[in-house]
Amino acid sequence: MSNGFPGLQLWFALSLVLVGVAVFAAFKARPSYALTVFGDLTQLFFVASAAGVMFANGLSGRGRVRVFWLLLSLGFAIWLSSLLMWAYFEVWLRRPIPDLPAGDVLLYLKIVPMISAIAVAPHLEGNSRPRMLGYLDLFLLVSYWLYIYVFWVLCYRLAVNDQGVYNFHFNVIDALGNQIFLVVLGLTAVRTRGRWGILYMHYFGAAALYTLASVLSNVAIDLNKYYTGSLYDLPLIAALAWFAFLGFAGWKLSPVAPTPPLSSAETGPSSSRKIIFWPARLAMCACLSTPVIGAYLLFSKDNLDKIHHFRILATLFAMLFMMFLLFLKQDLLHVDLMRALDEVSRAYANLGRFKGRLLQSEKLASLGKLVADVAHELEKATAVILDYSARIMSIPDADEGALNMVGKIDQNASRTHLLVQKMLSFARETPLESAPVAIGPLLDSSLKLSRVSRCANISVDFREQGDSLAVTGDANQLLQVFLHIIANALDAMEDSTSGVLSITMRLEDEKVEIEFADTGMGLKDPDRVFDPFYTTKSVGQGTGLGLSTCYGIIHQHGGEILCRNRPGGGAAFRVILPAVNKNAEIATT
Amino acid sequence: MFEDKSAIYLRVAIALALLQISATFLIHDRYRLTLSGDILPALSVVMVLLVFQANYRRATGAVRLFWLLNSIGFCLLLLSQLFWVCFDLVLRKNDVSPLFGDALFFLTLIPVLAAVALRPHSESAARGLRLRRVDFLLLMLWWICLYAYFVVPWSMVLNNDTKYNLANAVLVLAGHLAVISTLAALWWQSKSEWRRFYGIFLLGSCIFAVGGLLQNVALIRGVYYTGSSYDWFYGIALSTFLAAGRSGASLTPLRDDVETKQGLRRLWTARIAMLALISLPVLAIWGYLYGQGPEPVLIFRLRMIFGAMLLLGSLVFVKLYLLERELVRSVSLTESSLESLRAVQTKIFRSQRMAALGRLAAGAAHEISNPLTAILGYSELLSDNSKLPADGRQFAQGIQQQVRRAQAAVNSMRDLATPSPGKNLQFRKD
Repeated sequence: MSNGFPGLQLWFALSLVLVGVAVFAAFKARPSYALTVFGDLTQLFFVASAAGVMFANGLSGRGRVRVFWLLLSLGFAIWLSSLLMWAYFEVWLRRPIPDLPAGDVLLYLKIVPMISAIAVAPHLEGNSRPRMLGYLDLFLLVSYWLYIYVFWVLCYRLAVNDQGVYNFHFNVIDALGNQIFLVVLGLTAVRTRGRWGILYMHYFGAAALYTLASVLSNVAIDLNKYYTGSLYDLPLIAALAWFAFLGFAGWKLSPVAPTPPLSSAETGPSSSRKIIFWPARLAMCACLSTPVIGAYLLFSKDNLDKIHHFRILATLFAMLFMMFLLFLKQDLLHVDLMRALDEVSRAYANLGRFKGRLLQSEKLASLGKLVADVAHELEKATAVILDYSARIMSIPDADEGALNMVGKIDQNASRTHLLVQKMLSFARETPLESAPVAIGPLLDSSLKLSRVSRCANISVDFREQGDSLAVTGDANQLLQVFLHIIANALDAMEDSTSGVLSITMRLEDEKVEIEFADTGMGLKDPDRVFDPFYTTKSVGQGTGLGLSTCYGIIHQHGGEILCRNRPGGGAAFRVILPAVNKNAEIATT
Repeated sequence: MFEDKSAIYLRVAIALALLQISATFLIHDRYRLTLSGDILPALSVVMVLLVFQANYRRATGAVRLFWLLNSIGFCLLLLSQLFWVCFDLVLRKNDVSPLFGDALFFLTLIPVLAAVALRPHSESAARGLRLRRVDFLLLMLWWICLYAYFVVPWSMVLNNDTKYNLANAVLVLAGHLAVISTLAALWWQSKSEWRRFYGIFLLGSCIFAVGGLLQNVALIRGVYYTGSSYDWFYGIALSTFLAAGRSGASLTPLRDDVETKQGLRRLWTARIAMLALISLPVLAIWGYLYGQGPEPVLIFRLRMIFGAMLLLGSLVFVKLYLLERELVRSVSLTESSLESLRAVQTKIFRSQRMAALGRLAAGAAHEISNPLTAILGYSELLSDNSKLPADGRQFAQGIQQQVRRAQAAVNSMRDLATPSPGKNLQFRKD
C-alpha cells in the first residue's frame, strides 16, 4: 500500500468512528428516529464509498481489471439504490418501510454483477476473443437467475398477492444466491495466489460476514426484534466496511501474475479455455432445464390456476430469450471458427512456402561454405604472393623496370587480398560489432563484390563525397544490406538495354542518407517489399527474405530503410542511418 | 445392364400408372377399385425405390447421402401406402383414424427436402458436412414438430375430421412447396446434366404436389374415394420420379463456378436451423396467449413444444459442443503451425549469411580473377628479366605458382556459383 488511495487515512478514521458509535448505540441507545437515521446513513456511507472507490479503480485500470471493478461498482450502485429507497421512507418521510418489490429485486440482483466480476478473472492476462463468448454464457446465466426469481418469487406478487409466501421465497432465494456467491468466491480465492489471492480472501471474508448478517437480520425480523441500528445491524455494517476496504486494497492492482512469465504463458491458454467451457456447460444445462420445468408444470396438474399460468408464460418467455442468446452464441462460434480455419489454412500455406525457402536458403548456405573454403585458399595464395613481392623489392640494386613491375604485382595482390579478407570476415559468424564505418569505401567495395562490372548494359553513377560520411555499425552487416540492394537493382535492370544505377549520399540532420536509384521496372508493391517471404522473383531465385533481413539489420542500427517507385520509372531504396561525429576515428573497411 | 433394368422399371411404372387410369373407368366395384388404387401405386413406389437404391450404391460422398435420404423418403411413402392397404383391404375397416398413414405421407417430404437442401451437385457440399448434419437433423425435426403442433391434436386429442383434414392439407402443401422451391432454385443454378436431372425431379414434385392438393381438396369436400381420378397424378408423379432417378444415375458433383465461402454456407444453415428452433417457443407463446381452441388441444401443444424444445435443445447442446471443440482444435493447430513456422524462420535466418556469401561468389570470382591475370603477366615478365638476380627470378616463379593455385581456386568458386542451368549461365561466357 505504498501508493495508497488518496484520502485513505481520512476514510479509515471516519469509518472507525462510525463503527465505534454504531457499537455503542447498539448496546446503549433505544430505538428512536435518531438511531434510525444514524443506522441508515452509516450503511449508505459504506456502500457509497465502496461503489465510489471501485468505480475509481475501474477508471484507473484497464482490460479485465477495469471490467472487474466496474462490475463490482455496478453491484454496489444497485445496492446503494435499494438502500436509498428505504432511507427515503425511513429518514425523509419518517414512515416505516412499505412493502417494495422494486427494492427487493434490486437487492436480489446486486449479486449478479458481483459474481460476474469474479468470472471475469481479472488476475489472469488473456486474449480477448474467448472473452466475448464467456460474457454471453454469463449473460445466459444471469437471465436464468432472473427467470428463477420471476418464477419462484415474483409470481406471488404479480399472479397472486401473497405477502407471506413472497417474503419466505425471497429470503430463501436470496440466501441461496449468497451461498452460491460464497462458494464461487471461496473456490477462486483458494485457487489464486499472490496479491489477487489476498484480495479474493478479503472479498470472501466480507461476503461471508454479509451472508451471516442477512440470515441474522432475517431471523430477527421474524422474531420481531429487529429495528434499524440494533445489535443485529452490527455484522451488516462490519461487512459493508469490509467491502469498502476491498476497494481501497485493490487500488492499482495489475493483472500481471506473480508467477514467472514463462509458466504464465503456458498456463494462459488452458485457463482461458476453462473460462469458456465451465460457464458454457452450466448455461447449457440452464437452457435445457426450462423445457423440463415447463413440462413438469403441465404434467403435474390438469387444471391450471393463476400461478401455473404465470409460470408457464414466464418459462416460455425465458426459453425464447435463452434460445435467442444461444443463436447469438452459435453465430459467434461460427464466425470464430471461420476465422480460425482461415488462419490455419493460411498458416499451413505459409509453412509450406517457408519450407521450400528453407531448402533454397540451405542450398545457398552450403554453397557459401564451399566458397568460404575456397576463399581461405585464395587468402593463403595472395599472402605468399605479397611476401614474395616484398622480398623481390628488398633485393638491392634491382633495376627500375623490375621494381615497377613488382610494385604493380604488389598493388594487385593487396587489392585481391583485401577483397578475400572481406569475404572471409563476412562469412564469419560475428556478433553485431559497433564501430564507426566510413560509408563511401563500404559502398565501393560492395559495388566491387557485386556483379555490376560484368553487366555491360548497366552503368553506375556513384560519386564518393570528399568528406567521407560515417555511421556507427557493423561493417559486415551493412555490406550485406548494400550488396542486397545493389543485387536487387541489377536484377530489375537485367533485361533493359541501358540501365543506370545511381547511388547518392548526403548528410542531413545528423543522419546519413544513402539512396540507390535504378531505372528498372520498379516495385510491384512497395508496401510489401520488406515483408518476410515477399518475392516477385520466380521460384528458386530469391528467398524473399533478403530485404526483410536488410530491414532488420538497418533497424538494429537505429536507422530506417524506405523504398518507393520513382516517378520516371524504376525503384529507389533509401537507407537512413545515424551519422557519427566527423572527427571520430573511422575504422578502415 | 443397369440401364436395361431401370428401363424395365420405368416401363413397369408407366404401365402401372396407365393401369390405374384405366381402372377408374373400367372397375365399378368399390372394393376392387380400392384394391387397385392402393396396390398399384405401392408397386410404383417399389419401382422408384429400386432405382434410387441402385443409384445410392453407385454414388459417393454427398450424392450418396442424397440418394440415401431420398430412399428413406420413399420408404416412408411405401409404408404409408402399406398402411392403407392394410386397413382398406385386409382389415376392411372404415372408421380408423387416418393419422398414421397421413403422418407417414407427410414424413416422406422431410428426407426428400433434406436431400435437396444438401445441394448434391456442388462439390463443396461434401465438405464440412459433419457439423451441418446436426443442422439438417434439427430442421427435419422442426418439420415434424410443426406437424405435431398443427395436425396431430385434431386426431389424437379430439376427433375433429374437418379441422384435421384442413390442417393436414395445409401442412402437406407447405412441405411440397418447400421441396418445389428448393428444387427450382437448384434447377436455376445448375447446368447441363444436373440441370436436366433437377428439372425432371422438379416436374415430378410439381405433379406430386398438385395431386396431393387435389386429393386433399376432394377429401375436404367429401368427394374422394380411393381409386378415383384424383389418384391419377400420383402414378404419373411416381413415373416421373423414376425417370429422374434414371437421368441422375451416374451424376457426380461438379466444381463450383463461384467459390463461395464454405464457412458462410455453414453459418447460414446453422442460422436457419436455429431460427426454426426459436420459432417453436414463439409458436407456443402465441398459441398460449391468443390461441383459440379447446383446452386439451392447447395443453397437448404446449406439452409437445416443451418436449420438442428439450430434444432440440439437447441437439443444439451437442452442436455447440462440437463447434467449441472444433474451435479449440483449430486454434491449437494454428498455434502449433506458428511454432514450426517460427522454427523454420530461425533456421532460415541462421543460414542467411552463408547464403548471401554463396550468392556473391560469382561477382567476387570475377573481381578477383582480373588482378590475378595482371599479377601473372608481370611475374612472367619478371622471371624472364635477366637484369634481376637469380633469387629474384625464383621469387617471381614462386609468385607464378601461387597465382596458378589462386586461379584454380577462383575457377572452382565460379563453378560453384553456377551450379545448374539457369539465370547464371550467361555469366559463364566471360
